[in-house]
Amino acid sequence: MAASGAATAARTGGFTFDPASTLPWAVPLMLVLPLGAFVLALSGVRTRRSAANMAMLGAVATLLDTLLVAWGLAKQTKPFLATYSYINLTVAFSGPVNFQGFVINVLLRVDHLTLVALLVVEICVVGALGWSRVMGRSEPAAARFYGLVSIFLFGCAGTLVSYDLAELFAFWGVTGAATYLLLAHRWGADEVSRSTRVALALPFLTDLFLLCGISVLYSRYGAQVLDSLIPVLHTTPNWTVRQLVVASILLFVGIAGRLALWPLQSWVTATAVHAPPAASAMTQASWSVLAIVVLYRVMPIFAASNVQTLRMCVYACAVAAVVAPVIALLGNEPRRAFARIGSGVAAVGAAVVIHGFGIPGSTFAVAGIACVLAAAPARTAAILAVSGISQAMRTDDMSEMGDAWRRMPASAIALLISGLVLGLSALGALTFAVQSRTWLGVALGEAVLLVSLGSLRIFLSTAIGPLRRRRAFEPDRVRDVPAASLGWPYWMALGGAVLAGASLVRGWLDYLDGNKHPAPSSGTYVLWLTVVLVGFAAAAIAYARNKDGALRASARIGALLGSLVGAGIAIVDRFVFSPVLDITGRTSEWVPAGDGELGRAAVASGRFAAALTRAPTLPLLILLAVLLAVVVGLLTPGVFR
Amino acid sequence: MSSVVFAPEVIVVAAAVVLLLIGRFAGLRRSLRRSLPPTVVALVLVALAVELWAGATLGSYLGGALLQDRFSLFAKAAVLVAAGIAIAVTDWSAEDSLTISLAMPLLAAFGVMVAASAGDLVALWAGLELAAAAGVVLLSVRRADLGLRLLIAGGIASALLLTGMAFVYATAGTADLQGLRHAALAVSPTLALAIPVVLLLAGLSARVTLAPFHIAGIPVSLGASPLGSGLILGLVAAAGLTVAIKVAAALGPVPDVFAPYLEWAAAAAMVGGGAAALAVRSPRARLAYLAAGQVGWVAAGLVTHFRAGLGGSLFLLGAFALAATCGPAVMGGMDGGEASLAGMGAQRPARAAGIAMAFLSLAGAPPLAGFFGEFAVGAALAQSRHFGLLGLGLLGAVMSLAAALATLRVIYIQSPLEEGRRGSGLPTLTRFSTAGAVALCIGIAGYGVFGSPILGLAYQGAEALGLR
Amino acid sequence: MKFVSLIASAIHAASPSPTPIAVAGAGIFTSSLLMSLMIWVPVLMAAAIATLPNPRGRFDTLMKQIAFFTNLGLVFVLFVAYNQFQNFLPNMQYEEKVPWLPAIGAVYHLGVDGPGMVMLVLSGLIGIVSVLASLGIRERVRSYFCLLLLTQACINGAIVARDMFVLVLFWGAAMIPIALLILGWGGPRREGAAWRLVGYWGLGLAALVVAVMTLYSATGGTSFDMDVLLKSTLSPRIQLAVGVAVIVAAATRLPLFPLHGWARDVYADAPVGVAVVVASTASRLGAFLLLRVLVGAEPVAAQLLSPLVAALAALTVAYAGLAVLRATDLRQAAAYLALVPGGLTVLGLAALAPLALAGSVLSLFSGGLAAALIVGVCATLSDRAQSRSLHVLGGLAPRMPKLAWLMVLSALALLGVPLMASFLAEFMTFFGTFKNQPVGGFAVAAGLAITAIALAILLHRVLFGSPNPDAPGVSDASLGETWYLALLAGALLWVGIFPSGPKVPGTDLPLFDPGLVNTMGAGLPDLAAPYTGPTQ
Repeated sequence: MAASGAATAARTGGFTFDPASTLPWAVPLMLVLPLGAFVLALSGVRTRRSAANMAMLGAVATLLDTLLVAWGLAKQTKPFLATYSYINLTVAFSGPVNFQGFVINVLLRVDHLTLVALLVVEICVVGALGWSRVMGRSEPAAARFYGLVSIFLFGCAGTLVSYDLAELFAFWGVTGAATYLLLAHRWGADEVSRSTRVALALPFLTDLFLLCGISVLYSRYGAQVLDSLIPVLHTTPNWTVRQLVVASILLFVGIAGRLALWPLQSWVTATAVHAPPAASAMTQASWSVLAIVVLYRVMPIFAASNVQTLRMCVYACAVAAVVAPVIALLGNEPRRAFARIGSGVAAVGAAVVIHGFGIPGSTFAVAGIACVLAAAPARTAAILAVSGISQAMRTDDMSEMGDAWRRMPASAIALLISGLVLGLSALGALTFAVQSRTWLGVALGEAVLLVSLGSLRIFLSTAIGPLRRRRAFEPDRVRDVPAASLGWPYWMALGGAVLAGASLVRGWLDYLDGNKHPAPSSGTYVLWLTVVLVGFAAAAIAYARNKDGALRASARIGALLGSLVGAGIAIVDRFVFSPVLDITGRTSEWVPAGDGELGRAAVASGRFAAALTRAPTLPLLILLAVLLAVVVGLLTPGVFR
Repeated sequence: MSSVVFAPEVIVVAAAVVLLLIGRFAGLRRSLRRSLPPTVVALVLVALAVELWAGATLGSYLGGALLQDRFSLFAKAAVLVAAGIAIAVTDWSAEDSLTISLAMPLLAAFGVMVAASAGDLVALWAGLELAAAAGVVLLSVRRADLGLRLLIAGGIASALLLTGMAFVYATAGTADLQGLRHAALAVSPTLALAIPVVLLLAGLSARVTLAPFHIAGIPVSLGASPLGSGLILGLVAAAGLTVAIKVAAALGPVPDVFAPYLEWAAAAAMVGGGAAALAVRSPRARLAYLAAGQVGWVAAGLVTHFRAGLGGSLFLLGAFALAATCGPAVMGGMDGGEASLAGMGAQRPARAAGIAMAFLSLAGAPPLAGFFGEFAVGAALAQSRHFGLLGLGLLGAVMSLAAALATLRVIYIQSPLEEGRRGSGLPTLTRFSTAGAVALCIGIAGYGVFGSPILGLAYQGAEALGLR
Repeated sequence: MKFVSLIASAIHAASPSPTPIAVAGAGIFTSSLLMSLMIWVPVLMAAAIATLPNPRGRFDTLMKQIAFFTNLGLVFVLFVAYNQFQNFLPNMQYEEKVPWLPAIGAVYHLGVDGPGMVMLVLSGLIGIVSVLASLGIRERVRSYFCLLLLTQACINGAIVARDMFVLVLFWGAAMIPIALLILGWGGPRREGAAWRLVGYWGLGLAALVVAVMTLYSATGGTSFDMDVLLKSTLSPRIQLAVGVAVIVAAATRLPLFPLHGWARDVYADAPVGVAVVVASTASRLGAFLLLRVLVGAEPVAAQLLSPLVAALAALTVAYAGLAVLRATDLRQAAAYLALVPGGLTVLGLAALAPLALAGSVLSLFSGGLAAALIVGVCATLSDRAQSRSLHVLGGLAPRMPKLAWLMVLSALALLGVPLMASFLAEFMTFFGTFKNQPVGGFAVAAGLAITAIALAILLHRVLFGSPNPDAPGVSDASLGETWYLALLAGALLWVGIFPSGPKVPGTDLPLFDPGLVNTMGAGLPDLAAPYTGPTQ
């Protein structure tokens, strides 16, 4: 294995440590550590505690290793590259030279953006693990769960450092499989497995779009490494815009599925309640980071297609950014609501990224990533905090919650901070990227307003108002979550706050993409901050005036929306699925029936042939002979010539 | 040397006559009863050895009435092997008369040998009738009524054959096969030639149970003793097919007068035989229809009327004679329907393997004798662009294979029935019959695996008939 | 152009070096009869089992051991052949050529190239798996293992055949032991299963014979050797006729919709050990034939028929997914799922692009394993759960974790999830497909999505749903069952993780496994040569 990397150790006498010299082994270690933790968990670990410790050790070690790599790269603007051969196959000796061989190299490319994204993912995973060690005690099969967390982290790290689209899709798939298994962790419960059906089917479908997109590109250009592919998009003979458009749309749908943009968010919302909270939290947050980074990397392909395609993608994201938080306002299930809010924030980030690439010479696309990076820990924190509250109050209905501010102050504060961070996370993106007077500005502004309204609404629903006595539920018994798990949502929310703050700072964006960014006017800051504050204020006023009424309204409209969606699904089922399944069923019956009939016909003809032998032999012999003689004689070719 | 060439015929006939005399005048002591079949088989093997040694010498005898060529060498060797193994595997407890049952196959084999070395139409007819007569006799020992029926049906077949031969003679002006071939080069297909040829072929079809004339042979064969059934289905059919190949070779220059008929008959036989084998459940009837199907393949080879086709037919004829003659014999007195074979694989493994081999070979299942023969015929059909016929043949082969598998399932998968329900007792287990069954298996399995010299000889045989 | 030169240098680096790298096992044992050993050793051992005295089943265990160690021996021979295989040679290797029936031009000609070696490796692995899966056989042990070994021999023969006569012989012969195995040891609907198998495979055999004979007559009727039949230039009309016949033969074997009628009953009612053989090697022979004869030898027909082949692939995958959605019997659902990899393989063959062909060859291996795994795991699970009905089975994962994991793995393998060999095959197939068959590619992708939905529902019903209190008692897989299923899953993972084989750390020296992908590359460029297009 040949690893190539820049390692310069300037020795000036005495002990000097150049962190850059560690990159050749530290970078691959980012993948090896979680994989090692998984293998160890798989091979030896049995008890809950040791499994949790092993996963935590792997995650923390990866985090430390990532920090070491970040230190090593701190002074470098050039990305670090390490390559390992995976497949090197000659498939033809003639034809276009770029199609004569198929090479997949494990190509690890680490730059500042990759590192920050990876750190965010690791923080989310570590936080979720820490919380789960205590709060997830009741979850079954701990060894399986923590083993899967390690493989999930391995997949995330691989996806983030991949620049070869084949390799990227491989790690993407590994992460997807681990995600499904994590979300379907609670075996033996009907509603869990029903909800995880969609967690397998929908992302797999969108992953196929991604695969098709990559395949379309390869079939035209014969290359799948982004660094080699992007320069030749317009220089390869016989390239067509149509192919680039098709590829871009396929890639967009593929990424949007994992980014959980509306209407592809149901794999996240359906599992939000029934999956283990830690799994739900870490997968939601991590996937948003992975998907936005991958979107950012493939954007040059979108940009090379045409303006209409870019615009269409921006429209889609803008619509998703508005619709997702609107749906989050309907219905009273807090974790689902957070999932939808997170989806809205991700949509804002995606819209900004695509919009950024649509404007030649602009550099603000990275602000979209900064927005999602800030939201990710906050999402995790919010889901974990609200899960703690739900468990303590033994309900998933916000209308039955309340008084958490007094009874569970720590969790309530964590929830408040994460809600605020979620609302504020898009502020930087809007400030740097969007002009308020454009249609996009209006749409995304509306989205941010709804996000802030929705996120604070959840805090208010749980924290204020009375916690009513219910059947088999005594409010006075409600206590805050154990101290050992209390800190994690806090720290993650604070981490999110720091990232959200950083996203407002120009230098942060400069660090992320290595470009210089123009400073926005202070007026823009104020404008968008006002929008966010209006959202918070609206929630505060509504819930301070009549919390129950607001929740009842949400519940009613949510129920109405649910029934509408149900009716839509029923119509599709009635007019699409059922007929198709009917045809399949008929075919499945017709084929064996058909060949059975053929068999019976063969036997029947055989019976006829056999029955002939029961006929009176002698007359039949003579008759046949004479008849045949005449007929065949007359039919003999050339007889009448 | 010239006299040695016919030593095999002499040995076979002499053995048959002596057996008949023993049966008529000398009582059969237990020791004699036990030693007779091995002795006869030994004689047949001696005849075979002599044939293989001396038969390589080509020659023409009795003024061209009898010829010794590669064709006759192949046919004689094949029929001697078939007769010898059939006698060896026979379950004598299921036969009615030891001496007659031993003598008639020898006479039938002699008939085939005469037909094989026949140089003119008369010798052909004589050989065929001799073989057929042996069948009638052996059948009559058990079922006089069926014997009479076969006699009359044979008579009609013989009449058709003679009528056809007479007209052919009248058209060509000679009964000599070589002369007939030369004369055929000059004639064009006319109604006057086509009708008698069809009558001739109809007569032959009745002898070889080729559809639609299988109605003559198959029902009566089911009533015969095991060896009798094998004699009618195998040796008599082999005699008829030997005659058919020679006639087809002689009329080769005017294929239009026989090829269309044979094409239809072969197609009907291959498909009908397979379908009928699938429809019936009695093992013996199934074997009979499988044999009828394979006769169709032999006839299909004749349709091509060139060396590869007739060579393929001759190659398949060897496989057919072996399986069709020995199949019923190795089954023994299993007349109790399909169930009578149940669990035979466990109780009589060697005999069961012999039955399985015979069924599979007649069905054309790879990698057994029948498959190699049918493949050779198929190759010839392809070369002569008879893809329709080939397709129908393959359809029939698939059905035959299914039918054979149905019997194999009974033999190997079904549990043995208790004697009461079996309908007929299991064949007597003797070392000799076991050795015969093993020989049958080796013969059928080795026929194609070591088929290079056999097929080569068959092609030489076809060449000897003047085909190129 | 800088990019092209960059790629060119990559290709140059990728091109096999003229001096092969020494691998462990290379040269330790040389024999010119390696291929014959693969065929005739099982036949001889079957004969030995058939003649071995076995009073009252006293030696049943010995017979199982003979079958197992025979397959183990074959795997050793195969390992030697695999390691000595010259990846850089385009021509056939381990060739044996002996005149058989010179009068009709039939030659006993055996040999393998890269794709053939891939099939052989699969066959060797499945041989061991089938014996392990059959350890539970209690009645008529002698006949069972005798027939199983004969099946193995026939399949190996069909793989290494280089003469059409030999191919037809083994192709047809395989049907007999398999049908008897189903008739003798199958489930409640074994009769229908066996007769359907015979009917469909018989039709396929007939189609193959017609194709072979057409080639034979078109090339002058002198030889059945593939070197003659498949290397001569034929008129488009004849190529088309041969192509259609070969597609029918392949579609009945693989199987492809609408000639899949046997699959449901056979996979659902054959004994497990037989079902895995049929689902893997026996059925892959169909695609192998398509690759050899249609794609490899009749380029004009391949081009003309590629839309039809792609349509068949798409229909098969979509139909399989939809049929699983309607299935109420676990083993029948598995039977439909086992059709999916075949569709993917055929899509790659329809694409007629070098990379897609490479993907197809790899999916001969991965698809065979995935199909065997899903069929095997569902059969074992239904045995262990004492029911096949999806109305009865439910929430089994907590009670049979080993089988649950294996079933999840088989589902992931079918869908082509990374780290599985099937992922690589799917990936290469799709990469190569979109240039020539974009519609087919999308259609198959849609079919895969339907399959994913069906699998999700199936896993939900059987494993992750709530347990059925009225269901009979369940137990997890036994050691033998775990071993045979783990072998299949392990092979999928091994090739998925090390497609080029593991290397000695820090070097490019292969460590005991030269890599299946490298091995399959031998001869592949020649197969793809007619479809590479003009050099840029």
